[in-house]
Amino acid sequence: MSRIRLRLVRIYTALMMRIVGWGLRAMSRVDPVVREEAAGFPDGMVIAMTTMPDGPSLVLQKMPAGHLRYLGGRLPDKMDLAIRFKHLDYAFRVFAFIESTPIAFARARMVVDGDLSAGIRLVRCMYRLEALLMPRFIAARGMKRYPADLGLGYKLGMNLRIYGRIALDLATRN
Amino acid sequence: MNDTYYEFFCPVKLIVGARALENIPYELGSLGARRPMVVTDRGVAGAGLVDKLREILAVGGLEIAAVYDEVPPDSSLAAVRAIAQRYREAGCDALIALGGGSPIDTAKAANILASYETEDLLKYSGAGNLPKPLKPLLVIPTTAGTGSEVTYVSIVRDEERGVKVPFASPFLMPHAAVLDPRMTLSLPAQITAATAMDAMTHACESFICLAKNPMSDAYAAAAVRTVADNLLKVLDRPSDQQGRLALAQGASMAGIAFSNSMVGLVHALGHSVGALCHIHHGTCMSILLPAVLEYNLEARREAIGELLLPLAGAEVYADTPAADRAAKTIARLKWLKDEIHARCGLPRTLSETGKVEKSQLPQIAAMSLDDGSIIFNPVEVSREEALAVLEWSW
Repeated sequence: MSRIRLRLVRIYTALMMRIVGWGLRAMSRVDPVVREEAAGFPDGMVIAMTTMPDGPSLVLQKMPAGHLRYLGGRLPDKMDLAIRFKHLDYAFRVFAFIESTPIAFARARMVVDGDLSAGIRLVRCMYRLEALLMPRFIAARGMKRYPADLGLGYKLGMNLRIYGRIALDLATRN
Repeated sequence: MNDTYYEFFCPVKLIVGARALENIPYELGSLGARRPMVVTDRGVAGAGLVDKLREILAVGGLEIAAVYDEVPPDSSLAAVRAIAQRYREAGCDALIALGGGSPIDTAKAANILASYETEDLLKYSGAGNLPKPLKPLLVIPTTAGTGSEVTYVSIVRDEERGVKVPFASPFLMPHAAVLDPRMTLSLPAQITAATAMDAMTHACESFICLAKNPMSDAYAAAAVRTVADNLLKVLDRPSDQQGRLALAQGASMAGIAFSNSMVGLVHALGHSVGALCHIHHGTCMSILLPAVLEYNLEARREAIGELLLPLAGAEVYADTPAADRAAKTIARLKWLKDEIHARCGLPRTLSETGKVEKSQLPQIAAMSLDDGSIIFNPVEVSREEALAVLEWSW
């Protein structure tokens, strides 16, 4: 991999991790599906997605009020659930929708440290994020099945609410 | 671009067949061990298998230094700690797991404490958290189904927290698995059938799930053929040593297959049924397998159709048009369930178990969605669809 391409891959992956972090934080407040999924994580649970050995990361925490809090890209000492991509290229392929999340799991592209059930729950949250925030033809590449009941009108309405919430969170440094 | 990628790993030495137990003294000696501890359960000990093993090893100059025969059906952290303590007190240097999935998983976990000389087992839970090799562990399965003798996983129940704790590491793999037909001869018919159907399910799921690969496919197809060819024969003639040995080999083949390609919705649902309704795992697998194959049919029609060859034989396969083979595979599995039921009464449906209330099905479906196996199922499963599969199996 050329140095320039490596740099671009790293920047893209870091940016996507940040978007996922912002998105899940916002969706845990405004989207009923992610809100219900987030409520299933134990209170205070610290959830990380990271790239070995020291690549881009995202860290979330389940708050007692039920929503997720985005803690940024720096890994804390203690994590309750960590999904670790074995290589930057593996993370890039997932975030670039070249390889779907379930196929990445099947190919052992990442290891899950911690409660596997919570990991499965996080994956469902990511499916929902992809389905709502990405155009259908892209999102469908990241999951096994695009939700059949997701109409365009509903999706656009949710987009407005999610991006609005992201903007509000960023403006208020929530 | 060729995008094929898979991983395959199984370093377990298989010692198989007549008088296989007699090889244990040599095998342990070559690993530098002289004082093995046997880990088993009361049922196995009560059937006289520990005494038989002790006698055989003694002739080979190997004395069993300690025995722990109180492993509970779902394993437990308390048992793991007790085994490690007795191991140290008796100055043991190896473990022999004798039994089904629970004693095997318990011995694997106890080996962590015994080898690392620690009391803190939970810090090694999860995937890839064992830092170095463990003491020698030999496994002698007395059931033919779990495949745990060839996998890198151990699942232990934490009775205080009410959760199952998984451990996964290549270091957990036994040094050898000893398949001796004398060890499965006393298995009752219904357990024989349930465990064999567990192996059948491992093989079928590994053949259709997302991590399937050419190596696991080869083991899976061989496992399906072996179980299909021998299960009914063994139920008809329980003293059939060759048939028993074939089932044990089929279970190990299926174990090698699924530990390298994982399992899917049958296991996700089965784990939840087992946890909530306390039904034998193999029985759950037998009940749920055809319904899940039907659910996955459109996504995996070709692979399910390919299973007809090992399941029903070349003649049936050749006589069935390609488009009908998947449906025939499912019909054949239903027929097999009926034949098993006629021979030993193994339940064919959830209602026949007498342990499941229909009102529990929504809870089982919801719980299944969080099971780790579900991500490897070829079709994304919603709560409603999981419930529908349970209702088909009712």
